[in-house]
Amino acid sequence: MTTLGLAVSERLEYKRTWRGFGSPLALFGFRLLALTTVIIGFRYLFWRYTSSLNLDALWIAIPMILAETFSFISASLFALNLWRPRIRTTPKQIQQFSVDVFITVYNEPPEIVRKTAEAAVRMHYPHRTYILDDGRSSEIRALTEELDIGYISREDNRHAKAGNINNALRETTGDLILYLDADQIPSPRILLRVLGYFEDPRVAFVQTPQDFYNVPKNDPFGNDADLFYGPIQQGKDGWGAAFLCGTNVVLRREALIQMGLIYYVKDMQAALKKTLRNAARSARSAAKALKADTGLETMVPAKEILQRVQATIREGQQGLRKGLALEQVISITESAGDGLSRLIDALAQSRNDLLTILADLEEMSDLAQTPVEPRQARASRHRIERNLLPAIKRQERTIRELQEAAEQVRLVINIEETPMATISVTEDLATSVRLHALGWKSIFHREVLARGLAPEDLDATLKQRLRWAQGTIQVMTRDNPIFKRGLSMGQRLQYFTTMYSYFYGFVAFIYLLSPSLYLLTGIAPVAAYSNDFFYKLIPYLILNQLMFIYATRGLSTLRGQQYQVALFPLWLKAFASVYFEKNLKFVVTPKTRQRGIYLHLIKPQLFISLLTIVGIAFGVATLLSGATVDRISTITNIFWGGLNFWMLSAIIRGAIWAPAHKESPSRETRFTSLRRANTFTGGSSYASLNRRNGGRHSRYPIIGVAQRTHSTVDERAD
Amino acid sequence: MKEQIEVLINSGTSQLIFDLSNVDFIDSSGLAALVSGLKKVRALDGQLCLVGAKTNVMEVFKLTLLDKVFIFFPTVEAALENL
Repeated sequence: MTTLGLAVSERLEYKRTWRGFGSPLALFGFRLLALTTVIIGFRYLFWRYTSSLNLDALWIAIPMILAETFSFISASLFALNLWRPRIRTTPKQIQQFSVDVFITVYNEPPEIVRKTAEAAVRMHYPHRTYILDDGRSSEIRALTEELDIGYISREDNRHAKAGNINNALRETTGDLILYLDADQIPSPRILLRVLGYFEDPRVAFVQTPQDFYNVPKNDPFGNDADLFYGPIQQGKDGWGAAFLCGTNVVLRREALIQMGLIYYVKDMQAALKKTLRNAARSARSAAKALKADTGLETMVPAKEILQRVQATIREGQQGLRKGLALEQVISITESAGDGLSRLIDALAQSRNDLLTILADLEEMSDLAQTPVEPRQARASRHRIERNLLPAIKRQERTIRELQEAAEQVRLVINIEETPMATISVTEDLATSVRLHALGWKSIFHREVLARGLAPEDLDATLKQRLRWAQGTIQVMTRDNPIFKRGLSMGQRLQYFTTMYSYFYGFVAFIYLLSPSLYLLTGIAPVAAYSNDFFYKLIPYLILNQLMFIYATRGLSTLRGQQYQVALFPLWLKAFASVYFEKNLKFVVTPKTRQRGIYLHLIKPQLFISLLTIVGIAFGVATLLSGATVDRISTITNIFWGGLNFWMLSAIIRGAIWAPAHKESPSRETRFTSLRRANTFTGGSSYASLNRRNGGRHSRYPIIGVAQRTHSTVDERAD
Repeated sequence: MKEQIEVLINSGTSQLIFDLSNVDFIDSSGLAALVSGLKKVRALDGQLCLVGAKTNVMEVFKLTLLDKVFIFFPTVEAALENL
């Protein structure tokens, strides 16, 4: 046990949380480097636009230069992101808040939930723990009884995780709420460490990192999130834009409820307006159908109903315009909806009557031996068919329209307050944007205070990434932070940066294709791979890389970079799915490894890899054959293709990766030892932080005693 | 009305007179009931007459050309004479 603990803590000691640039001078160094990179990059790009487009192959030259422009903007956004990172120190402890803990569960294995729940119960600081079970499982319910914690479930799973939390918010009362995903095992100290931030009444949430205890050493699926829950979030925090990330976060109920109400009113007003407009339109077309020259109007008792409905709709619309209380408009709309239903019934009734008459007349004219003159019945039948059937058809259309309008009314009446935004499959980002837009503050606390499970196979990884990408794009299309009122420029920029990064799919595709295109066909996106080109490109590339390395020293970012490129089909798919599918599903990331080989999931990557290898082979062959070729260009593209192949190799290895058995101790053992190690890392990283802040040392509360020491200072206050 | 007609017909009556002089408005379901009644008495070789229809009620029959299918009389007496 001890040995194992040691072994793991060694690994964890290696596990780095980002400590900022370390000193004002180092920050200055970064800014200088960043500025130089941007200037050199701009010069390069300018030259590319003005003097090195391959005019003979614009179809590839233009996508390429757009891709390069995209990359240049990316680099500039990265520089801005880290321009003024904020490294926070732990605030002093406070006592005044009541705290609820929400563990959101949806069919995760009970043994995983148990770990989380037991750790949640053990957390210091008084709190109530609830399991929010969208799986409605008896096992989970039994678990909550055994641990004596709350169990909250609901009838349906509307709005997935956001809906689950919204439901629980209605049934609980704590001032602050800690969200934990089913697999996120909290440190006993998590509440003690972050509650102090809430002394500032404008703070809506404190986000802590996500960290994974099951990521194998070489991180085959690129799950390590150190870059995001390090420089990126701290950089965003510096701009007042630390993002909400859905788990390991403490939120202020008041902020959520306020936001939920405000958006409820907004959404409701918009929905009522639209609904009443549609209802009015359908009522108008019903009136038109009744008035049509068939004289149908005189046969249908609907006229009066219709007039009443139209009056009610007008009343509702006026109410909205004049700012009548929302409940009143809702109830007016509701009675308009009832009127629509009555109208539908009346129309349906008359349609059925007419059809019955037709059938009866038909029967009569078929009874040849009866004294009735069949001719007359037939004449009447034909008249009805000719004159009334079109009217009936029109009526049917009207009925459908009215039904839609009535259904819309029903939906609107049932809109609920949703503190957690439900407009996106990434409810956290959407909520984050809205809280910031209302002027709430957010905080990123960089200490790892909960550990969870990363996806353990490629399939699960891809599903999770796809949901993140789709969710981000959804927020961009439905509640775009760039144009949203109430956000600061810095916040807009930070949200933009995150959304922008998902466009990388288009760019990666061009970069990946380009070298094999040259090697196989000789078509190049640049006018010439000349000395001039290299003199301008190479310094830019080097500076770019230096800036990145300088900012992320000590973090493992390699795998992440590889996956960023290799996941290009996924980013493209995310765009396509948001634009072409109406309802995206919230796909719960599987928490248990499914064995298998996943090469079928990465066909595009395999294809590009193969193409690249063929291109390189072909290039090498031409070089060796001594044919007259542009040697520099060929070598450059062979090198570039090699780099691309290496980028793609990570996901190919991920697809066929299987855990080595002896390398993975049972989850339980690993976790227990990790928790000991956790205490250690948390302590060590904070000690270093304090050193930077002038040598003040603090000790870290192991047990929940409210004797917290040093006050918060941000070394780079705005 | 539909039920009344059915009861009458089931009890063997096949000669019916409807006095519409107090009817101000007839909708599609009234029309359907009359047509259905007509169909039934015709099957029994009987007759169904309408009496005293007001103008706007008559309009509805004209509109559907049902005025040619039913037989109309100004008064009940006139109808009885014709049966």
